[in-house]
Amino acid sequence: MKNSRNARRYAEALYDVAKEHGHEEQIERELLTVRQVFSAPSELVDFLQDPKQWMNRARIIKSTFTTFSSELVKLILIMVEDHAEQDVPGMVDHYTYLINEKRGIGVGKVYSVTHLTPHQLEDIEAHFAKQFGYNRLALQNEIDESVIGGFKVVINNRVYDASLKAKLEEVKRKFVPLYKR
Amino acid sequence: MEIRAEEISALIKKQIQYYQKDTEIKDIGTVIETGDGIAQIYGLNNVLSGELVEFENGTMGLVQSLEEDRVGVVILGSHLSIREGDEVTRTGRIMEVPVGKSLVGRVVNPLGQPIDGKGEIKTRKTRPIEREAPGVMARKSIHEPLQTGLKAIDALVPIGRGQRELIIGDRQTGKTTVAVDTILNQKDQNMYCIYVAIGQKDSTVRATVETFRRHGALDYTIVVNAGASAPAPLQYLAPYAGVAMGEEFMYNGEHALVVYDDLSKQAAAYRELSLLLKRPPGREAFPGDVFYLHSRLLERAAKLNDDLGGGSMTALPFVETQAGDISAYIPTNVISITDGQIFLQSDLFFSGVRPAINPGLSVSRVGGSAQTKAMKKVAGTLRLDLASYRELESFAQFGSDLDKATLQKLNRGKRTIEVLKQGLHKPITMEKQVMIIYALIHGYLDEIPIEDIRRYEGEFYDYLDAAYPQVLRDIRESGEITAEEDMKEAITTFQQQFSRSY
Repeated sequence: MKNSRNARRYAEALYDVAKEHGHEEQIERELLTVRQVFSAPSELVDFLQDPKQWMNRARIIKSTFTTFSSELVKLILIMVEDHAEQDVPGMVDHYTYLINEKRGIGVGKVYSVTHLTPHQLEDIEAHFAKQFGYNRLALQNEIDESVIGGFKVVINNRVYDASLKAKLEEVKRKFVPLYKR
Repeated sequence: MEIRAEEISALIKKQIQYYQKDTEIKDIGTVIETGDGIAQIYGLNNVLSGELVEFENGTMGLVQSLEEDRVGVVILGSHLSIREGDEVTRTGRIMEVPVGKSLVGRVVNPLGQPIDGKGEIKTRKTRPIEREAPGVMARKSIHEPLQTGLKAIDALVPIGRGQRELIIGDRQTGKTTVAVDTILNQKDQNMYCIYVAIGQKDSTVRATVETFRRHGALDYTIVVNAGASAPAPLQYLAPYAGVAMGEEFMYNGEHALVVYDDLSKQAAAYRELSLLLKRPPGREAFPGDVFYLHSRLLERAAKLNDDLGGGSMTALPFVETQAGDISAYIPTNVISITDGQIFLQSDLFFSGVRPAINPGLSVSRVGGSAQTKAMKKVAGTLRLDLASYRELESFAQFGSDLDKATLQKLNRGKRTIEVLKQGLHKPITMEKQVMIIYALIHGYLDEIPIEDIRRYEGEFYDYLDAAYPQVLRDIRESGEITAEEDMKEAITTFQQQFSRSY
């Protein structure tokens, strides 16, 4: 069972510990590998969840992640002990979110009908950074034909919708009052 | 209202001229769970409790519970097309319903949408359904009567404009009839009525609406219906929609009467909602704030002071009891909130006393000051007389050797009960009520056989209309008993020509 709340708790704890030791960025790099290994479908997760292998879990993890920081390995051990293997990707995402918030970088997506040129993407990033309250934006371009035209920026549950679809919806809303819907 | 093409193009032209890009950054959330009319949303970090949110398909939702990483939203409308992963946007508004006189005569659902097939409701006015009740200084003591047209209520438990009077009783004791008769009697009384039906069979509501229409009561009545098949959120919202419509009249200096039929069903709907939202259950599995649910609704009924226009909103909430148990959770709550209660009893109902009002358990804490002087004068001792009759009645069943005074009391009591009986949908005007009770307390009915009393009453009213209209007019216009001699004369002359059935 995935539990996003727990995943965030683990991430916050790891981030605090890493900050105390001053190697948040090293852990951030290591976490990318961890995320890949734990992302479903993952052989490692299947293995860890196999009751027959419960005795070997700690040994396997220790021998797999030998080159990683000790805090990270300890956290993975704790999560595996808590049967929270599936929450690892969520934990990594939240850790990345926390570290990016600290840096003032907003990570998000921009939806458009056609691929945006790198120049356009830069323009959008530069224009919206202030509005969303970040120093810098790191946007990923995704193709979504339902926006019809224009674009839509989504960063952490906040959206700037400059798409044609939103405008049409707006027009519809003006024609049909709330209580008649 | 007619719409012309030029007007529309002129409007659009203006809009183009002043068009501004007003796209803003909005908060969005994602549906993580949905079912039973409830959706759990991830995100929507800054949403307010009670705010409206919009789902992808245009359905609106009402934010109910705010948790650490999710918000619980009740879906207003069809929840079938909402899926996991759908986007939800904040609207920044709270829920409103259309209000105003164009709703009068219509049947609407709790969102204010017409459900009577008579087409669109043309009103631009709306009011928020949740609103603070008028404060201490905005109010005024209740002083005008609300005539229900029922002798037993107007004489024993009078209701004033702005009062909250609970109508409580088992199923099938005539609760709805009391309300319907009261609404029928508001004709030409400068009163707007709102009948809120919660969790009732649609066929029952249809029959009630038909009664209103037949008696011409639809000309001043709005019916808000959340039927038994309506989802729990709508049943929960229905009373608030009704009270918002009533407030529009009250704050415009007019008078409104709101009937909530019935609040125990609303409480049950709210319980369903709360349990689905994973709020902890309390007594009888109701959530902890079920008292607040009703108190904030009923507190909005008020009599406003003259600076605010002197309007009023009277509330008649209903509560259904199980086997006469008024000490259950919801009945005790609502009894303590309201300014009195009318208790209807099934054994009275089946013994032929209709309306089946129990005068011992029924009280009106503030209505006395709203009673007309004439009624107060004649009905002053009625309650005590009835109480002593009830006491004697059980006692007198043992023997027949009773002294004259006791016999006389029993006699009078029997006639009192007979006089307080009233037919279905036959409201009686205040002056006629005064006349018959006057005749009763002055002993004019003591010689009339009990079987004849109802016939006597009917013929008496006709006689008064024909022969003594000025007596009735005096009482109606002054509200007092001015010409007692004329009243006595009217009664005695009628008495002489009344033919007994034996």
